[in-house]
Amino acid sequence: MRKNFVLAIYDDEEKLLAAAFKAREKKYKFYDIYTPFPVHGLDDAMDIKRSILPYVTFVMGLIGLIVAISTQIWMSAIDWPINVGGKPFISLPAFVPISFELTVFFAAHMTVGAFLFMNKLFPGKKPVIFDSAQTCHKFIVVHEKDAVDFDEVSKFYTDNGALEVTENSREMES
Amino acid sequence: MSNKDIYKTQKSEDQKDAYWQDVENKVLDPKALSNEFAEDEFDSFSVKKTRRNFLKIMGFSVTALPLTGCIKIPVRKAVPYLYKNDVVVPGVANWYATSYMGYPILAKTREGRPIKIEGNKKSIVTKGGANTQAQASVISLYDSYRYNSAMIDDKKVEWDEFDTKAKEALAAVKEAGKEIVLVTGESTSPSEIKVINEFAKKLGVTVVTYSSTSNQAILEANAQSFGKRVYADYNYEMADVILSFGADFLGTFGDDVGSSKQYVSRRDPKHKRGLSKHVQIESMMSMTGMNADKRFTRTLEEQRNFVLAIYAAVSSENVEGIKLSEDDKKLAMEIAKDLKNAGKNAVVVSDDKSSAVQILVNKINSALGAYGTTVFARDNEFVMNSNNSEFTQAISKMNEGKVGAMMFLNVNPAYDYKSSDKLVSALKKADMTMSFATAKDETSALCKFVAPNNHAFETWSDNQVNHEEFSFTQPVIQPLFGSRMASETLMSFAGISGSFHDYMKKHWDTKFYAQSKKDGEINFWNKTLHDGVVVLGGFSSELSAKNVSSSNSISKIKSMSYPKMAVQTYMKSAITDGEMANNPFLQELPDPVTKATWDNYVMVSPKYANEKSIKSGDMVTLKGKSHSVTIPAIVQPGTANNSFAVAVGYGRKVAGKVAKNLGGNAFAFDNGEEVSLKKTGEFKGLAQTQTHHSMEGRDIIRETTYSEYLKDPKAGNHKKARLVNIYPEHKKDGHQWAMAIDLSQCTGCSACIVSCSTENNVPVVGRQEVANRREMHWLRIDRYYKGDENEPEVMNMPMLCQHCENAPCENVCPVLATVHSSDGINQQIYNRCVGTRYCANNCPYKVRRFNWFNYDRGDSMAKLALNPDISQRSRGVMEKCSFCIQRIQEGKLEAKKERRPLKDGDIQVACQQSCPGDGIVFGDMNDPKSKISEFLGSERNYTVLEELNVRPRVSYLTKVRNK
Amino acid sequence: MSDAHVSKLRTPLVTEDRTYEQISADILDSLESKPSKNWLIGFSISALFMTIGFIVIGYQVGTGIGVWGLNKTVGWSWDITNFVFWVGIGHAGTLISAVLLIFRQKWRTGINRAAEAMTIFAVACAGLYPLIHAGRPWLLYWVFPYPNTRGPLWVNFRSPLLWDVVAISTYLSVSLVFWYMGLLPDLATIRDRTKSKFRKYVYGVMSFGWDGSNRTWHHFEVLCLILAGLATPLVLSVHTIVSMDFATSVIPGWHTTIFPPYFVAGAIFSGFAMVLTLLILTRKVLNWENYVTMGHIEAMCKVIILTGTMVGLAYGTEFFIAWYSGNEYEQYAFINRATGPYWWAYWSMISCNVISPQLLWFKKLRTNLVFVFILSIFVNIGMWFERFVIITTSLHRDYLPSSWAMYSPTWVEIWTFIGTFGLFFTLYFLFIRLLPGIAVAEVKSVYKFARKNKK
Repeated sequence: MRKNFVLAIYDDEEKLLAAAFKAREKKYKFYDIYTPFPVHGLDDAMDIKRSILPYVTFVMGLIGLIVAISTQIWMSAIDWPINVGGKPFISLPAFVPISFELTVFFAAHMTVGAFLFMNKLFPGKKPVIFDSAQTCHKFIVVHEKDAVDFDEVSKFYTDNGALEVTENSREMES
Repeated sequence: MSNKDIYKTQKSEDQKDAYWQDVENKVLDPKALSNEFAEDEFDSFSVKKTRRNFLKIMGFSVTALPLTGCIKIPVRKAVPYLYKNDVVVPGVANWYATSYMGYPILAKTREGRPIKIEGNKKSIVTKGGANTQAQASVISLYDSYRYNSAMIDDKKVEWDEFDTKAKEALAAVKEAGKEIVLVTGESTSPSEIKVINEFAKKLGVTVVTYSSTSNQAILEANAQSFGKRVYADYNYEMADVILSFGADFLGTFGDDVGSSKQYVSRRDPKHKRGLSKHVQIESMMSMTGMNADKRFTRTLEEQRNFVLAIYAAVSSENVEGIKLSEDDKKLAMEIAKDLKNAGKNAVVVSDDKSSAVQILVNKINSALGAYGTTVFARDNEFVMNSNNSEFTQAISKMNEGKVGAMMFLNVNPAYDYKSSDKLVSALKKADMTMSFATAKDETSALCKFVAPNNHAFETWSDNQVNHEEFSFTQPVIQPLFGSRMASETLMSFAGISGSFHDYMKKHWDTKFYAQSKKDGEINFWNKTLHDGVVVLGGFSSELSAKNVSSSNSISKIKSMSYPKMAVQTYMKSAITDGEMANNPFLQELPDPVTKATWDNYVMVSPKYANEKSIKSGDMVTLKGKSHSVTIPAIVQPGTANNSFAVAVGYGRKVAGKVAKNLGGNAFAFDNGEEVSLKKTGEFKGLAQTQTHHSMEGRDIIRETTYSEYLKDPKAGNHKKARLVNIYPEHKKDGHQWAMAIDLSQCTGCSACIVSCSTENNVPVVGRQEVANRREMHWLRIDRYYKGDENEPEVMNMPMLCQHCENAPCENVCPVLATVHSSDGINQQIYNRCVGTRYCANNCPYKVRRFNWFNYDRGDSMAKLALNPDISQRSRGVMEKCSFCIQRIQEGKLEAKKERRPLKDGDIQVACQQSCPGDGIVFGDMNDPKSKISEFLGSERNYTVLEELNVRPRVSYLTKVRNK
Repeated sequence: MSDAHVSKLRTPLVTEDRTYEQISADILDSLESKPSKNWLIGFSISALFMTIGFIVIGYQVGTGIGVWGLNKTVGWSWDITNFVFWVGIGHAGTLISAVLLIFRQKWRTGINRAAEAMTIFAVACAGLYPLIHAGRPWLLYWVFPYPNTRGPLWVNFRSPLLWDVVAISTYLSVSLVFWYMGLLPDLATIRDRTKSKFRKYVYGVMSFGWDGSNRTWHHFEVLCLILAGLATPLVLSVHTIVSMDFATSVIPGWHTTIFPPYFVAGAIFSGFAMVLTLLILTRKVLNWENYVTMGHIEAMCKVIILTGTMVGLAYGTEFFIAWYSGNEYEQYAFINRATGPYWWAYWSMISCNVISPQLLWFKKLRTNLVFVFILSIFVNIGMWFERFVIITTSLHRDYLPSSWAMYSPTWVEIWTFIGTFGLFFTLYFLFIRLLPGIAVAEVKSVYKFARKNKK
């Protein structure tokens, strides 16, 4: 559905950060802020909750570990026990390396998967580009038009060192 | 690739012939073969056969054989059995008692193809042993370089045409009033000799016996000492003290298998007569010398003076002017003392090429009273011993034009006669020349007529094995090529009708049956044929030593002069006189002494090599009076500083792909001839399977002396590693296979290697690949030197997969291609192997072999020798000793069929079976009464690299030397 | 921002004043402009060697492993030597990107991208060897425990080779995703800067629709930390396992508990050397002096001193233990290394790995690009010899002197090795052509480091 936005465009992350915090005090509701590189602090300004990725990693790692150990034991001691070099069928010390590797394997790949999923990133996805420079050297604060009073915010941002404040309207696939 | 063409057969003109070529594959297709046999069952006295079966077949075969023997009926298609015959059961081996080179053997045939040779346990001489040649003979049988029809002027002819033409030619010669000479090799076959003599009488042929490798001196000496040109038989089992002057009696001097059996029986410290004492005095390192308790490197001159000294001491006759150093004089006295103490239980053997020396040796032996206990000089009518001087005369006569025809039977003088050029020129003068060679050789190439003889396995014959034992040779396969038994050719020339089989049988009925009038002619014949051997006394009488005076021998010896550098020719235990040189198995067999393959070489002493800065592998030219060879040198510890040694049997000019132009021909050298050696500057290298010869003081081979052993049987074997397992061991119930090898019993003869290779289809890889250290033998014999490099002590150790209980190779294979069986065998699963080679790297014994390429198994012919029970390993696959798993399986099944538990000795692995020394024991270590348990319990038992805690299933018994 | 104040104490990570736009321009110039002559030459040479390499491999696989110089005694030599060599080189990349990230080493940003790329290419080269060194490569899929029709038939989890397979594939895949995730923002930058439709489309697809939303950035940074946290133990485990190929065997000279740390140190050592070799060239060719600064090079030199010394210590320890163990086979193995027929290999290893890095203590030398470049190559040679010495000299004379043998490579082995270099550099040249060789976004994020703007 079509949405209208107010954009405040910056070219310096420090000014942006200051403005963002002021805007937070003013209870302006951010739609999002687009930056060419991570600007530390913006998360707090936008009140973004801590990422849940670490939990995904832990669980998936655990699963990997269990899968690895159980597979090795089942294959070499239950399904086909065979005397290899006089070693016991369950040679746990020998199973350690593979268990570790599979733990990492599961954890890493699943976490990446989760990351892409949570941020709806996938080949061919249409990016939200308000200004072609937003991935290069421009920092863009975005509010939904109906959420804020345009004149007020535009004044606010121009006072707080924005290069310009514009309106923009576009189809959003939500 | 070098490995590709080693087996390829020479496609000479005669083989391009259309008729034979297009049916070749059909005839040679094993299936077709088996059916062919099915249709005309010829003799097959399988050891297991009952009398009924045998008679049934007999009736037919006696008449069928001459037909099948001579007429080739190519099989066009495989015909199913009309009546299932009970002789050839597909998948079940038939064993036939026959003999090879006169020695009794058993031939294992599958679907009618001989594929494996084993010794005949019934023989009192070989006692189940078989030498390298016999083991490898199956390969020669299928050698498609053999003649495949009678030839006249190098053109194929049918046999009857051949016979008429040949007879005419002979008649023509007679008319011209010229002499016909038949040159034969030495023979011990009563019937063959009879045929030859009859043939000679009929056509007035002069028979000349020639041998390139026999020691004429011994024959002459015996002729003088006993008035008969005979060889002596020895009994080393009775000998407490053995003194050998360069006689390689375990290898190429006389009957190797029999001697080894006797000799080795006395290397067992438990033997009731105790350990024999073996002193070897020689100028080159021989296989026998390696095994001596005391070995002395002495020049020929010194050796002869030793003979004088010892003769003087033993006969207490005063001999002046013995040229020996004081120490050597003392040494001679010690040896003489030992000999005298042993008295009739002592023996002196010498391979000296001077009859004067041999006469003295005879006198020493008779002075000791050895004749009758350890030495037997026997008179009998069944031997044709060589007399090369007669041959020389015949040649000169031929040069004068007096000899019109010369025929060659089992000899190849154009190659191995000293002055072969004389022979060649003489042959040009002859009107009729004929050879019986089985394959084209130097002589047959010069002959107008070629009547190819059958291979031993296609032949009827009989042999005198020793003074009392006789053996039979029976065909175990139809003639594969268009050849014909030489004796039958001679019969047809002599106009004797019937087959040689009948002839031989008649001879036996009249001659030998008369000896033992037991259970009827036919049964006597059958039994002999079935057993392969029969013991008949009374055919030979003890010769009484004439009293030849020693004085002129002594003066002869004293007057002998010696060159500064002399050459000594010798025979390699595998290649011998080169008659089997086209056999790749023998060529690739590492020489017991030098561990070199695919070559002959000049042995030089380390000292000489230092002076002349020669290193092994340098090409050198050895120049004699009339002859010179250019071959690699090898620095051989234990070679006398003033002598070189060269093996004969190489440098074949007319031979199959394998042998052709391999090495240099040394036959033209006289023994002790003056030679000069020059480096060509070229480096050829040697294809050796072992290049480091010191044990580096490591605890690998344990040994002790007899005196030590008598004090403490555990002597030299006290080291014991403290072994701990951090995890529980696997169950060890049921059969648990193990092997023990008695190092005192191993002479290093290498028969086990050939046996293993034929049994397990181990590929031949060729000279280059051996040089690349990629030989495939599953079993090798490690040979280490110790001490002074002029007179080193030599130790042999057969090394094969140790079947470790905690096998390091198994842990590291990612795909479980090598695992452990419940009966304790380290198994290699060929078709699971991906070839990471990690197992081989991690094998402390380095016994695993990798298929670096797809090794050529030869043409459709050579493939017939493959053992159908063993799969061919493709390239990229690891392989190794399997404890002959197929034999274990067979043994188990046999026992199962007979509803009885497996007995100890039911299963014999290939190497164990062929060992002439019984040094290898294999069996179930869970069976307390088994021989292996006894060996494992022995105080001398130990395992190599025990401290690694890999727990090998192959253990060794310390070597005991009688020093 | 030309009037920026620059810290006296610490030189900035980006030496000259730049606007963010200029930064993008400088770095992305290499893929937005036409390929330079140098690039073309370099690329075609590497591509040529790569092709020869693959032809030779084809010949070897077609004929049999026998075309190599190996024998019954020395079953591994150049093949596994090169395998370990390449894996080792790989490790520096992960280390720089992961470990330095965890320790918040801002200077890594200049070099981590190239280093990670190097990791992946090196591991690809390494992975080639286990494949072709097998006698029957076409059956190598058997090392995976897949359900099969051969009855219950699995793989041997006790075999270090199997550990290797799992470790290397895990390592390769994890490094790959780590690297690619890092690329996303920069790919988006390229996408939005380019004019050409085609490039826009391609980079559009490749950038997964990245738009620099701060919500994504938040997860992104967490993800990077997690992956770094996983990759760090991973890289250590991988070379530990590689070392176990030898350490778990019974062969004197292989059977050594010191191997894991020893190999890891060696890996970092050789890896950093390779990074230096590459970057010193790249920064010249692509004028990245502002982003890959002397500071970076010195930092890497210091790592090389450290790891080089550790490796030296390991060599010493090995010898001591061999003597101290009282095991005659172990003792001989090491005496043979230093004085046996392969003494020259051993001493080239010592001089390249232990002695030469010590020169980097001198600031004069470690700031001299030419010297550092040559030295980095020396270190790589030395590390190659280390593996050769360990593998070949231990195998060629082990327990039973009867099977002692010598080994020398054939032309096939030599050309295969050259071929892997071709492969490596071909990939590297393509990389700097098609992808940002420096993490643009990250450099921007550290641009302000040690630089204050007057207001």
